[in-house]
Amino acid sequence: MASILSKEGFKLRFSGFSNRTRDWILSGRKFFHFEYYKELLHQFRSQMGVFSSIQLAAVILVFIFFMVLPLLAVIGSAFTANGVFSLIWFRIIFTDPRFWPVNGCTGVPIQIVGDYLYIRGVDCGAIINSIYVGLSTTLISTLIGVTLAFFMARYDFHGKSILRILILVPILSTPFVSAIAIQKIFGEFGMLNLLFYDILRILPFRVIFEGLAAVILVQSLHFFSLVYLSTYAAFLAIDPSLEEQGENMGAKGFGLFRKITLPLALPGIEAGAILTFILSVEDLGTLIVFESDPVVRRTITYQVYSLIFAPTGAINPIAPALSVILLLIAMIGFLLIRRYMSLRHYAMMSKGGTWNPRLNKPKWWQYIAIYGFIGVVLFFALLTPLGILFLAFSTEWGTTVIPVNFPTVINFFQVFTDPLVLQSIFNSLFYSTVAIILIVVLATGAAYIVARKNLPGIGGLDLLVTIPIALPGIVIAMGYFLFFVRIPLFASSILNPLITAMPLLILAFTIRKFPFTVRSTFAGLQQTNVEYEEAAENLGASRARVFAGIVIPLVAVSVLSGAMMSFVYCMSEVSVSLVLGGVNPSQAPLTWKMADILYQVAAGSHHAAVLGLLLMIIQIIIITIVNVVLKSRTESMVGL
Amino acid sequence: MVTIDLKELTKRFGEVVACDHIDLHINDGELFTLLGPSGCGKTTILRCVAGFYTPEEGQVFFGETDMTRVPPNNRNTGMVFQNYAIWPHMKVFDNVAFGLKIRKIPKDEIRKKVLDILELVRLGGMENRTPFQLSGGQQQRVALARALVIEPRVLLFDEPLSNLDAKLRVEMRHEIKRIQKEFGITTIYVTHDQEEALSISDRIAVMELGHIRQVDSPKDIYEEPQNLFVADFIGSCTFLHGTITSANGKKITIETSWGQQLHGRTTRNDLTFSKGEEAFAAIRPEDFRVREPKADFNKLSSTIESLVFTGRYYQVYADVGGTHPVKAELAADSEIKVKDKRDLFISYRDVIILKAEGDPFADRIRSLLEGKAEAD
Repeated sequence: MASILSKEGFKLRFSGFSNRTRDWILSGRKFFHFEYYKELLHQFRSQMGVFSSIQLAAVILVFIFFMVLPLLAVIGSAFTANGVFSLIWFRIIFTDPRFWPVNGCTGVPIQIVGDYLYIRGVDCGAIINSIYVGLSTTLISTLIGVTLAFFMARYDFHGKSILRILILVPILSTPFVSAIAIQKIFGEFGMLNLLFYDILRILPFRVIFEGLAAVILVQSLHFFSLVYLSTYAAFLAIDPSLEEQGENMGAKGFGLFRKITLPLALPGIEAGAILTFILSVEDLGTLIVFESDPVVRRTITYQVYSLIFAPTGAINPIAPALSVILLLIAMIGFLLIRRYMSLRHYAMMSKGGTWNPRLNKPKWWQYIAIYGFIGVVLFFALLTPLGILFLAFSTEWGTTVIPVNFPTVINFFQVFTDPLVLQSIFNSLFYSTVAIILIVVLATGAAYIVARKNLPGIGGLDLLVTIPIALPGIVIAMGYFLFFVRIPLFASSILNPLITAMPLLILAFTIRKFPFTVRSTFAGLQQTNVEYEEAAENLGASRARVFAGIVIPLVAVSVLSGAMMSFVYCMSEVSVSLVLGGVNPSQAPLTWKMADILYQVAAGSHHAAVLGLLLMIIQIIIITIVNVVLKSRTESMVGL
Repeated sequence: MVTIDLKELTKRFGEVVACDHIDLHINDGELFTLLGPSGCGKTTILRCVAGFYTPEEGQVFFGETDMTRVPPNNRNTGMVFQNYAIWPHMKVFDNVAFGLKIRKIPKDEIRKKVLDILELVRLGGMENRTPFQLSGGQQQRVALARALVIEPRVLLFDEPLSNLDAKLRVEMRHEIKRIQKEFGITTIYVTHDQEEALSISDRIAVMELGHIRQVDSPKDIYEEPQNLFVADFIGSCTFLHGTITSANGKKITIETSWGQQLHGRTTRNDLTFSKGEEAFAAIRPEDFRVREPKADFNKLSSTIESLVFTGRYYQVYADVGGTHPVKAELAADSEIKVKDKRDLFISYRDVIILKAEGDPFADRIRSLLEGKAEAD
């Protein structure tokens, strides 16, 4: 009889399994062989050398300590009570109507009272609320974004170059103040109701967005641009001959779009849509603006935020369990687009787009459709920056189309003479700069190893450095409290956020905004011939010298454009900033100060708008440099 | 200067064996070419010598020193890459000076060496150009200068001319040979272009499927192919399938299935040929004649199936009775038309008889002749 240890014996033993399962089990056997590890070690030695090993170790160490272990701490606390395994926190959550619709959903989503039309959304407990807000935002953003992208990618019409720039405006990330601007503009006596109900009398009702519907509105007006960018890139990456072939076989118009174009662009659309879902679910800034509505407070992200008491590091025991649920929702989304998000896949996508894309001249009725659609979308999308401008340059805006005493620069004097504000601006610039230095050092190493080294487990590194884009910031913040406060080794170190917030803020920025740089660098490496490096090595250059003298100069543009986008998003980071900033206000970053102003100052929204404007200007400058000077692709802007 | 020895060199990529127990000795100062179709393992061997690949088995020696595990930057080889790999962020001067800077040579000496070598590769005065300002041929010369200036023990060329246009390719071929002889550096040259290999090399190794099929001088590779693969790869022979009817020393006669007698010679002194054995006659297209030679010739009656005038000759496919037409290049002044019935003549020494038995390429030739695979 064949021994179980021989391959044949093993096959015999598992003959009951399907071929695939059996192969899997057999391939798993190699892990029990010493030879396998010897071979692995040999491969590692011959490919990595000292320099790359140091790079790899640095990346892994930073990600283990500042991402993996804190997350494990969250998961650990979620599943333990008094030190033993327990599902008690989940049992509490799923029997509490605040979190789970044990008594069903309540509330009337749309209601007409007199001449008022209220759009509110229902309340189904925090978990379902978060999910349906995410799904609704995703659906609306996708419909708008895909339609826009199709028009922009496939039609050639007058004013397109201007429109293309204007469409990028909503991508600007101005936490809090964009929500405030929309709150004002869509308010009971806001600009829109005044214009369309009171003055023009087009609307039969005064339209009021409340609660989660308002959140969906704010998010959709921001995130549609993200779907637009990823879809636009996907449309441009389609080889025109594929569409021409379809036409050649008789398909045309919408049929061609549905049967050929859409399926080819689907991965790009999916990636944009699911990323929108993740970012919508983890968005905290908008919820804080609308927090006076109890239903808005019943969302997972807000609940987790409110259950951490930053000044003492006290955490309500159900918060980790809620975080795990939030993490799970985000991870399901991430896994759906995993293949698209990974570095290796990204390079494949970016090879496209070198050809001249197909552009059609629209017919007269298409002109109407295009201008009509883009006009409406842009009108609403540009309301946000307009509202921020109005707020920043006025001191009161409630019941008029244009704010009272507009324009005035008094807010600017008040804001920029406040030493705490200046401190927070300095803090944000400082943290973001240090984070970017760390990101560049680590991301170039990580991208280089994933791009150039062929070792088992590289996929794991790829996963490690791209996953932060899908990790809710609030969960990371909670992880930092659980890990660095409670573990004695760190509790007395500068990594304890209760002692000083600075190191962890910098590291949180580093982790959270890492994907932008690592993806951009990786794409640059993929487009750079390996032989440049081999030629240097052949002439006697050490690995470190090859990296510094050849690799870095050749991909500098890609690194720089990625780093600039990382910087932009570090400056506007919300979740970790709010939680960690609350510990020590003098160390808090700009976004914390914006929230603080909203809570503390009477003219808070106007002062916050000044800071929002500052963020906008920084972002416009950087995005312009990235786009015009560095001629970078749109993908780097959204991390897709 | 140094000899290179490969001992049992084996490199695998997963299940694929890229080169399989390769043994090779390359003489001091020799220009040695690895020739073969793509995927035959020639570049793999070159990269094992350069150190970019570590073989699973076997060793690489430079002289007496085992270099197998030495990293590429410590091997002191100069490699010229297929796409030149001229660093776009450096000027010509800095590209060439790179290796010298790493060797910590004094600045003024670097300057002198770089300018001298640029003069040698006929790029004098171009040291301040950026790579974008150079033509393909000039980039090729920079790559050559960059590899030469460090005075390497071994020069390595990986299909260096494949990106150049035809005329420049011939020019650079002579250039490389001239410089190689001037420096006398032991050189391994990889190419899939047989004409290039034949014209540049001191010796050639013809490779197929990870194995070396023959190592010889260009003349011997061309005139004395040792097996069916080499005969097929070099100079696109026509094969006629038959059985040996007589073997008398080097002179061998076969008879094809349609009764055609062919007298020829063997290139293999190490083999004995006996009556009744399966064999192939390999005939080069340029060896067919329409005029009767003086003596010692085979005569094949044929029907011209197709003909293309190429300038120097007629390229002809002619039916000689087998399942597959023979390819012939007939003198441009021969008066031939399609469907003509003409006798073709080949002298005995131009018919090379190769045994089918023990030749890994025999199956391929057989299926080619049976029409299962497309012949070119």
